[in-house]
Amino acid sequence: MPDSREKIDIRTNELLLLAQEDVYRSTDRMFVKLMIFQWVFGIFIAWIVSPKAWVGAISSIHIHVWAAIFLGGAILLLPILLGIFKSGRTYTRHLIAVAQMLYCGLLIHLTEGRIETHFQIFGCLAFLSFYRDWRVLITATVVTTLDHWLRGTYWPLSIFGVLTASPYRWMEHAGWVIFEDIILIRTCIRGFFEMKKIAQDKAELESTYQQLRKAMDDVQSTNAQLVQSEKMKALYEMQKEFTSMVSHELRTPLASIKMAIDLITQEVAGGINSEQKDILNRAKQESDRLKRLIDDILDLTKIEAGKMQMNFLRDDIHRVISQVVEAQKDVAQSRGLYLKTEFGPKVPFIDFDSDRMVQVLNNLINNAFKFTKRGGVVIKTQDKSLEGHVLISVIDTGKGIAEKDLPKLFQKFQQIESAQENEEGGTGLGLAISKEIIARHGGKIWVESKLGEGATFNFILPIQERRVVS
Amino acid sequence: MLRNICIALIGIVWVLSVGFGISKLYNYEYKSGPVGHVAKQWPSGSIIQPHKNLFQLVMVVHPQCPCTRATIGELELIMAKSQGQVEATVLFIKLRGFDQQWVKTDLYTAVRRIPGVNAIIDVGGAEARVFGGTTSGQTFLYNAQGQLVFMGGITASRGHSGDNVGRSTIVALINNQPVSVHSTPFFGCPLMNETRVGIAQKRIL
Repeated sequence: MPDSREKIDIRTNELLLLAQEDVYRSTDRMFVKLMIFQWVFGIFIAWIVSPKAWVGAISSIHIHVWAAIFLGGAILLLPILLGIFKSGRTYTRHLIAVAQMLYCGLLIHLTEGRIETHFQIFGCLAFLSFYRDWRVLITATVVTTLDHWLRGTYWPLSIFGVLTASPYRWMEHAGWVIFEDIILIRTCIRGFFEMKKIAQDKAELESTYQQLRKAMDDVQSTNAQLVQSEKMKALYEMQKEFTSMVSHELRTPLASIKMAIDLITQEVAGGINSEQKDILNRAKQESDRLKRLIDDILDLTKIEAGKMQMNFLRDDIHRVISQVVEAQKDVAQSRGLYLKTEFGPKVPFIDFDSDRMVQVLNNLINNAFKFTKRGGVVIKTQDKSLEGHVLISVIDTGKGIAEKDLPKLFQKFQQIESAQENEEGGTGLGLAISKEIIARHGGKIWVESKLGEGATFNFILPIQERRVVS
Repeated sequence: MLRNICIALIGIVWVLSVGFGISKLYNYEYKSGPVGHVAKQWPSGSIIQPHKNLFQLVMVVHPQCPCTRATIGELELIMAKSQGQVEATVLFIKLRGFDQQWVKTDLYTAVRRIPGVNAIIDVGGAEARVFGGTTSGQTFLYNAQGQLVFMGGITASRGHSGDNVGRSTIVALINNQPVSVHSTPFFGCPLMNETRVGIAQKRIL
């Protein structure tokens, strides 16, 4: 890829060629008009100066009139056609140069060799310099010089009016033409360099414009992305508000349903048989599950919206763990599992939101219960002061988790295959919420497990005192 | 290939047609008029009374001939350079069937304006015949002794003004300078129809 300077140079050459072609074409067009005028003017002059030739009393059209029409036409017709149909070509302008010199000679004859008409040659040379191509002037000069040289050498009477002329007299005539050429050629070369300079300036301007345009496009693109992002954000906000509103609206009737089921189960409204009790128990279980789902959705919405209030207090984590274990002991027993703690020594007090920590521990313990049929669950703590945190592990003796499922565990609404088979089911949000809560504490949660070897859910909480309570 | 051949053919046709036209024009421009029975001595039958001590220049002119306009211009230069040593007479041919206005053209007016030049209307071309004039612009120069010292044209070609051998020879003769020629070709309209057939076609170069 050529660099910027090379690109500008290439573009400069392109623009220069275009400008030259434009000059060539416009000058060709000018000469077409000029040659048509010359032709008509030649006929007019011939008719005025020498309309008729006489032989005694008999007159006829003068040969100058015919020459103006036919010879003038022969000289000018081809360059006129080329100027119209082959405008801009090199051979067109050179043929025009030749024709101009020939027609100057004819016009001199038509005006009876008047010295004033000779000046037309110099005028035509000046016109030819409009091409800004000095080679055209050389062609015209060669034609004139060749004419003077041939006639001056072999037929001096026809051009100098003498029987014998100096063999170098033609040089005097050619010299004046060359004298004008020097001035015109210099002008042509200067014109060429001016065109080149203009092309270069234009190329640089174009390059700058393109850079500017690209920068503007980038800005526009960024603006569009920003607008899109704002729209997405607004949509997301609407979705969250909708979720929150719907969840709240579901909780109220759900509470009434649960209360009604409880009242019927407790036979407040009259006795029920065992079959009815079973049905109502299943209904109660589903209601509980639905409540958990709604609670989880609300929690997740709050977390994602950054609206979940965290009350960090420096406290003993062992106290909270013991409290949770105590509360879950009955559940463990009902499942035939053990639930115990193994606290490490010297675990320091740390800053945490006790309610949210209870929620995390309950999630992890309930999760462990669901997948553990034998054995039980142990909650261990370890002081990792040197690494700046406390490690809490919830270890179960359940069926474990396949390696391929591990990355999915903390994602929203993701349930691994074994969880889907589980009768108790789940919301698929518990671990995702736990991950967010731990993250809000500045900690990290992860799982270690192999299929058939139980699972260990670890999380760490930083020891460093929190300065800001959000 | 075919395109190039066409371009070459067009170029050749153009060169040939232009060359042909120029050659025809040049042939006409340099075609000298026929020489008649030129009077070597001042003709006694002439109506012009020559001045004894001066050169006598006689020019025959077809009043309608546009080619002679350049000749009149050259005559004006000769008269300017002759310093009163020459007396000039221009014979304007008046042919039968034409009135005086046919003669009094811009040529006649121009000649009348030149100092030292007499314009004479030559009815029927009788006086021109006396001198042996056949072609408009043909000029005769007689010295003070009545001898013909120059005969011919005073333009380089037909109707072409500018330096020419005829003019420079006459000026030289008037100023008693040596000359290399005593006659030059003359170009112009034939004075009369019969001049084309009745007179020997000798050319002087």
